Amino acid sequence: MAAGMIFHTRDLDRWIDRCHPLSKLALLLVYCIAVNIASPVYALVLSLALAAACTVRRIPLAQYVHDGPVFAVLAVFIMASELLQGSGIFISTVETLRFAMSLLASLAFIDCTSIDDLASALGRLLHPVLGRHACSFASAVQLTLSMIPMIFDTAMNISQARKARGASFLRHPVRSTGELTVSLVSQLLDGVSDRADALIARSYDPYRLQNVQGPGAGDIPLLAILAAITGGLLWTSGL
Amino acid sequence: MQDLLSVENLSLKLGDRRILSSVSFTLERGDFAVLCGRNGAGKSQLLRALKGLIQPDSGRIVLDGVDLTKNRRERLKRMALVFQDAQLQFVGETVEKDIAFGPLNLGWSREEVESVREEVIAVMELDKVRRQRPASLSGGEKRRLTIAGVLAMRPDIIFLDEPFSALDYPSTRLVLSSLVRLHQEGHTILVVSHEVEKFLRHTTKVLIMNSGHMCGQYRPEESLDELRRADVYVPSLPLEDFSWLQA
Repeated sequence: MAAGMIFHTRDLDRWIDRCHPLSKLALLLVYCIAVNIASPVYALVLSLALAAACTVRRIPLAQYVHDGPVFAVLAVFIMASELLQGSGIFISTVETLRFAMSLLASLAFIDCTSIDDLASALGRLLHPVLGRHACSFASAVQLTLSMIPMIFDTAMNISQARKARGASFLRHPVRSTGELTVSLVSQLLDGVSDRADALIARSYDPYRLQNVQGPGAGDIPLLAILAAITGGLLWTSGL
Repeated sequence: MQDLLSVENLSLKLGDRRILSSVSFTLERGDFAVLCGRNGAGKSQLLRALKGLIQPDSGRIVLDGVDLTKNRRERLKRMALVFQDAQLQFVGETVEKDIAFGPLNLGWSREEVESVREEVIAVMELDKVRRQRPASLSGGEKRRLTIAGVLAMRPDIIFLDEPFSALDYPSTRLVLSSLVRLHQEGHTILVVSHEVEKFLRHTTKVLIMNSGHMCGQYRPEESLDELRRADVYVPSLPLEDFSWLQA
């Protein structure tokens, strides 16, 4: 599930795909802050704007819902807890909407931003301050994320192999957890060792400063949107 | 023809276990060789030692007339290894990025990387899946992507460890035809495989290992009896029929 959601970048080669990853990250952060602290009316405006953008981009929302049902459950939880607190249907809906829009903004970000590019851009940004450690930080982010599918696949394989041989988690939950963990760690260590060999075989150097295209004219509209959201937030809050 | 790779008396011990004992063989430029032997014969470890992932205890590895036994970095760069488990080799988020990974590590310019990437995508017929995630590819496509990933680094020799494992008939044929094409283009290839009947006809040399020893290197037509003696499955067919590309 998490693997599916993290590695869901679709390079459609449109304007937003070509923008600098850090500009998109800044916009995501500003949007999430704004939608969570704005007045209900402004939060609604921001929500409609994002929904329109996602419709134009044709974000595969159904697939995301299928991959991450836990977030739908969380939204229901938020709505229910707000109602139980006596917040009223309007406020409860707005609070749920804030959560849903933060999530949708993150999915839209992932849809158009490669995690590799984001890590490389972070490495390049931090390089003047941290030197080669910035590169190793970026490499660590990339490698850690690339390991996530392996962790999920291994855990799934172990679990299915145990089930196929009649093991029941519910019958012995403590013992099963211990056995699962030992198998998982042991297989992951093997997998990590093989992955390390594969990286060395392709001349991988974690301290190499990676090439990333710098910000360009295409980022100006993005920064204008960021400024507009901030301006709108300040204006609606009376500052 | 001049020897491209010359391995002399290579020995390797891992813990108390002797893995390779004075292994010697040669590969000429343009060879398409197959290395056979029983499980545990030391075939995969030999590839790892040649590539530079394990340092041999003794012996010499000479590439193109230059002794690279102590020069691990150069061996890593000039010899490519495709591992048995394709899944473990994928690093890039997309097929394109995965192919570019090696050349970028070698410090090539953006133009060079793009040029070699396009060339390799065309050679390995990966154009339709270039923007897909490696994990979403079929078994045959994954295997071709692993070959593309190392081919993009323009190595002198390509080693492949069991390239047909877990592949169905059409995927095996696709991978096999890619290897035959690479050989015809002049690449030097060494394949570790138990399934010699799939491609013996296309090879130029057969190497047989047993318990860490190199039993010998043979021309394909003279290798059949030796392969049977080494417990490698060889069907009772004329050599011309030893190919899955014929059907």
